[in-house]
Amino acid sequence: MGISAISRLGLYIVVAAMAMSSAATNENVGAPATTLRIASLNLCTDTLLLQYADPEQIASVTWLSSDPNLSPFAAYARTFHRNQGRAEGILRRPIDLVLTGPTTSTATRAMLKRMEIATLHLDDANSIDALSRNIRRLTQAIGQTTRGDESLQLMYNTLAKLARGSKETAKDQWPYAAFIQPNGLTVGQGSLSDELLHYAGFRNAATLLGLRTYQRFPLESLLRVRPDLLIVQTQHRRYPSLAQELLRHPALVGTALRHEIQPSALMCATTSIADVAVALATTRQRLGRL
Amino acid sequence: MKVGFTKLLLLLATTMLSLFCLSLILPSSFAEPFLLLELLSKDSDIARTIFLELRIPRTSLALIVGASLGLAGAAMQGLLRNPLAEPGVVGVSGSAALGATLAFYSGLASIMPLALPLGGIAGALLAVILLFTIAGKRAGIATLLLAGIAINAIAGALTALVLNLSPNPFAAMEIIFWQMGSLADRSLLHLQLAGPLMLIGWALILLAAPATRALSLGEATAVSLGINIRNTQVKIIGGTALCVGAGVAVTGVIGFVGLVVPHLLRKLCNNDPAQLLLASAAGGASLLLAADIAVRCIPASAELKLGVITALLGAPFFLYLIFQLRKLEQ
Repeated sequence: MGISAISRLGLYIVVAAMAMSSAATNENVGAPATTLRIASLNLCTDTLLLQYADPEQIASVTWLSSDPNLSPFAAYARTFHRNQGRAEGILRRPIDLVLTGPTTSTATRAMLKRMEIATLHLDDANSIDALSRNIRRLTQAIGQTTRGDESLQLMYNTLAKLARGSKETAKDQWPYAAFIQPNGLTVGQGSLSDELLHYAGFRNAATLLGLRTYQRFPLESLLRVRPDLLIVQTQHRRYPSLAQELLRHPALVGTALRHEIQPSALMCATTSIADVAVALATTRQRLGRL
Repeated sequence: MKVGFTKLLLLLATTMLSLFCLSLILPSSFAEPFLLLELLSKDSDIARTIFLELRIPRTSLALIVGASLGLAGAAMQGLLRNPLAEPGVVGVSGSAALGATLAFYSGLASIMPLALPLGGIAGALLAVILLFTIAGKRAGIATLLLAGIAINAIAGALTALVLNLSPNPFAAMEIIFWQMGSLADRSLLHLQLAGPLMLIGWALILLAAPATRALSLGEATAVSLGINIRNTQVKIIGGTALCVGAGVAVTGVIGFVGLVVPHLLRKLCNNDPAQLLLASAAGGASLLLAADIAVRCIPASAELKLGVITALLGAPFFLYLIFQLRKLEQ
């Protein structure tokens, strides 16, 4: 206990000294830094940073972003410094802004505050409006508003077109779809995925049972409700898990059409959720023809 | 209270079968109709699928695994001559879980499904042999329990290591299944994989049953009665490993069944080890069927694990037994 307190104190001193020395060199040079150096401590802020920032603006992203199952920019993310989501990993680097998310520990956020490092905190987006707010805040903070506005415009155009297409059928005629994630977890009302289903012209089967997001869709209920479509994550099954085994239960096989989504596509919301909705709408048209 | 053995067995078998039938037709929530009525009233595909693909495997596994655990508990207590020897307590189930996780998370079981129960059996066998070497020759109760603690600790740590080393991000969270056990969403495949192996285990243990009666009189007496001790021990060790290993591989560790059941029935079986084996099998099946009905009736956001119920019943019982044994020793 005592030793760890002392070593932590030591760390603070070292860190503080480094911060001071870097500040001093900056002053000596006298030239204002033209590019903002940004580090991200959260997978979802990583994803947005990788999408909107110039490469020279990115100082560090989390190690999670290198996993193609988690991030759509995995290969690109590997070209940057990787941190473990804690302040310690980035303090040695010249950083102007740190992005934090809901998984960033309070201790880490408090430390950044004590060290007077500028931070931008973005919560996970659970609606399309929340996503666009996040994107606006981020692109403003990093000076990439044009890029942000363009991509948002594109997303809203695509979604509006989809909504027009799905409105051709009365809402109570829409087929039912259920998100079944590993462990049988589903997605309920008030979530981004639920919103996407509506744009694509599906009713969410989970709401029939009043299931909330991250609640389990019991296998028996799933067989009774019999949704027209099961939306599952593409399984990169080199190594198995019980959680994913569930989706291959013989009772489920052949009960409904399956629509696969790359796990990285919905892990963190980006403007490419519009593409997810487009793919779902295409599947709905296939359902209509069956 | 004196009950004839035939009567006792009949009573246990009736309980077991009633619970089996109840578990098959119990609705999964209050809103749903009884499955049986649905099956009878209209030829509903959904009801049939639920019955055949979900209820039959779940309920049959509860029966077979419960019987296996009861049987294995009674057999181990006879083999090690120790009333506290129970597959879960002394680490046999934990080792079985380690073997099964190795087979499953390495991907071996995806290529060859039989590797799953075989992995469990290998783990269980290793632990039983180790325990028999340490505590076989009339070791005190403490020695066996300490060996059990050590085996449980090693197996538990290695299981966690296997799960954490798996590149699959979901694996690490699955330790709760392996340590607490569940029958939720098991399929016919699990029943086909593990069922026959457990039945072979039953056969081995029951073949050794007559000899255990002689063995309980002491090894010398047993030899004079023409019993092949080595042969009997091998049958019991093999049978226990098959029962526990194959069971744990498909349900995870479900503790204390093999402790509670033989103890409640021992006096009723007139302390006859052969009778106790049969009665414990029926009793273990009844207990696990009842526990599985309980986890489905208790309202919780995620279904309770089976091992939670059996531990809540069994662990206080275990403490009580330790008190009793201390009194005896003094």
